[in-house]
Amino acid sequence: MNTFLSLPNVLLAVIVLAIIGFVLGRGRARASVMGDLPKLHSRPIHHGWHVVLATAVPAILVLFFWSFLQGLVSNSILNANIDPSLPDLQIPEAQRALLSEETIVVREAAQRGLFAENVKTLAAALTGAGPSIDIATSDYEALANNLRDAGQVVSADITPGMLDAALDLQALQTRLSMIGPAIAMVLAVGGFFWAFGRIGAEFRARNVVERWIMGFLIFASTMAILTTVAILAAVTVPSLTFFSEYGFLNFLFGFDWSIAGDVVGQPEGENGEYASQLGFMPLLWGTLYISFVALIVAVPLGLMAAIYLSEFATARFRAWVKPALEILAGVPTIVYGLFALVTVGPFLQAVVGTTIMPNTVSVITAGTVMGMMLVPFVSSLSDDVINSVPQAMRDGSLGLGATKSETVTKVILPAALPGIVGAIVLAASRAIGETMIVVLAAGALSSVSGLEANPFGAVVTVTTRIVAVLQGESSGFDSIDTLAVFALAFTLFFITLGLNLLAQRIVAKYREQYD
Amino acid sequence: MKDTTETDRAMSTQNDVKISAKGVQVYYDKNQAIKDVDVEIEGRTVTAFIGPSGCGKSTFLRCLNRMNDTISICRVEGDILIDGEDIYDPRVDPVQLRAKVGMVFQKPNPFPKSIYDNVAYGPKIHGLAKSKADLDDIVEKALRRGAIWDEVKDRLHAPGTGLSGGQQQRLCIARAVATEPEVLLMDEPCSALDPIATAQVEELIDELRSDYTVVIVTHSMQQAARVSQKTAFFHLGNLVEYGDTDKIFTNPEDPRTESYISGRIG
Ligand SMILES: Nc1ncnc2c1ncn2[C@@H]1O[C@H](COP(=O)(O)OP(=O)(O)OP(=O)(O)O)[C@@H](O)[C@H]1O
Ligand SMILES: [Mg+2]
Repeated sequence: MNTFLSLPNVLLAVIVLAIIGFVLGRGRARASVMGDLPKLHSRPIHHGWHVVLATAVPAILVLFFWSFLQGLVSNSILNANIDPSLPDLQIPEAQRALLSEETIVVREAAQRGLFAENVKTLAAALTGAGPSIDIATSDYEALANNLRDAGQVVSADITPGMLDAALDLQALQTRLSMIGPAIAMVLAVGGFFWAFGRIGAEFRARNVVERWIMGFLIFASTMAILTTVAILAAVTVPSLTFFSEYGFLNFLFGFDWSIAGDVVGQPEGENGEYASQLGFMPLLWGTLYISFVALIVAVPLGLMAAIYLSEFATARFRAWVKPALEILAGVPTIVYGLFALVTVGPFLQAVVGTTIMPNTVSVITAGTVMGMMLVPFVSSLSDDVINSVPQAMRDGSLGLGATKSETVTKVILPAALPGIVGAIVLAASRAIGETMIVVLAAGALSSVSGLEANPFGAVVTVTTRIVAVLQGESSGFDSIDTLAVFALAFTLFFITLGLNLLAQRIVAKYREQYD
Repeated sequence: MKDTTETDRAMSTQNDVKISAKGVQVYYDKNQAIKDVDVEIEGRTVTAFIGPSGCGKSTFLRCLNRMNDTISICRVEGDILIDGEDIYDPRVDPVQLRAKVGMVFQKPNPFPKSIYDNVAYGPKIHGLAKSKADLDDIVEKALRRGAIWDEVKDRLHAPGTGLSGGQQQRLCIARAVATEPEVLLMDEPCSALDPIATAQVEELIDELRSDYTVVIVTHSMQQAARVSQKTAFFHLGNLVEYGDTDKIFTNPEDPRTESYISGRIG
């Protein structure tokens, strides 16, 4: 019995029960009217699905939530059960004397946390290694080695207190891990019989099933929104910590960026300030500079491509070029980045010379290639808005003796302008958030101060710094630099969000004109 | 009423032929929409095209200012002469032709610009105004001809799209008139309008006759009878009957015309 109540087994059982329920439910619905189907309010298949839903949905929900809840419950029981008198938790007297009251409280809390983590790791190792490991030993070093040989992680030296706590935890987890599946099993069987009992000519199974389907659809459509909210929440908390640690204005209006890896709460610079210089300005500057260059490349090219395709090109040319442009839009940005790095950069350097352009990476390198990347984006969005200008506008203009190009410049473009501006703003927001091209082509300076004006010089951008710091460029995960990265992501999120909202409003306003 | 139409007819017989079509065939890809149409349209006259839906009235009308050129699958054969000049001759620029042969469409289609800019659009393109004051003059004259001046003179810089349907259509007529065309083609200009606006536009068409050659497509027999001096009846791509409006409506020669105007086909 014990081994049966595991998550995969129960999941399988629930699914099998649901399938059986479908077949039986359908059969019973037919039988309940002796095969005279029009008498049924709902078709047999709906009755079958109703049994499936009643059997599987509550059970699977319980299984799903229990696997989260289980961890929380066992953690809190573990923490509550740690004996404060364990030798593992004591701070040596000699050290104690040197520390202030507050520091002692902090250290003790930290030690407790560390101990709890070690217990959890050990419990996981014991469970993973299985019953073949001899735990009734006092040779803890040998135990650790045995566990390691079994392919498990052992993070710290095993102590008697730790082993006891780990064994307790293991037992607790075994018990907890059966509760969820047990409830799920009961719900599945109960749901099965309940739904089965309701089958009959009168029962409106179709309505119930359709409501459930609608529920699933709503769930699917809100999932993306919920994810956005979750992302925002995950980024907001560390960002706020960072702002209060480093100072919001220091960050926003700082003109220097260099990281020193100070641990949060322990500034290592002079006057109790952080040695890391985390100013947003040079990053914002680099980002905007490159995006600007990208738009200068992308907007005219994209717009002209869109005008040509929608107003002048023959149907055959259009049939070829439009899909080609769309394929270009699907090229991964890292490929553009490589192109910038190995082709465009060296080419530009050869053209302008090494005095102006000491490196192949530069604002222009990244900007032009990003511009190329945005051409299909701009052209396909503009093409859509140009096509949505009614044919009657063209006829009206041509009927007055205007040429095609007069019609385009004097009637179609002004009419489509708000939509085109919307497309440009969307392109800008993509440029600002673009990462791979700038990582490869804008330069990887780890410290900058001030704003680089030379378009052939290297700059840092918001996204390149996020990548660099999180890849562990001389900073640990507890450093102020890592927190700063969250603040960068947070700010980036709001800049692009603002741009997207702006674009949406412009485009929506434009739509109103014609509908 | 009877008197005026009789004098009109007397007048119209004196008019010269403005547009002359001979053996016109129009194809959309492989579908023939116009079959061997011959017609002579007189200057300073209102000519109405009537006929059941899909018979090719719009298609033929659009041949007269080469708007069919904008439809890639459309092919026109035969001769169409305006003032004795073949408009499908390769030396003729359709853009110049359209300045001379203006068009008003079924649905009012003002540009999303101000009322003033809508009317000034053609004159600006064709360089008809020498100065700003000149342009103001042209715009005012056109709006007066379009019988809409009084309604819009206080809001010339408001968007043309903000006018009512009837006002928009009169604005479009003013816009067409502003380029000083010689011929004005109108494809069901009143189909989107209420009776009052229709009456205004009809009155306007009657006035335009003194300076322009007007060709109007309409589904309304009454309208054709009210505004036109000549009527052409199309059926399945053929020009079945063409003659004085009075005659067509009172004493048609072809049985198809008879049954159409008495409401039996269409
Ligand atoms: N753009 C086009 N492409 C293909 N066929 C067309 C096109 N325009 C018109 N036709 C065809 O040509 C024929 C004549 O159409 P046309 O629009 O001239 O008729 P109409 O007399 O104006 O009709 P209505 O009174 O309904 O406006 C129809 O059979 C129509 O299907
Ligand atoms: Mg028509």
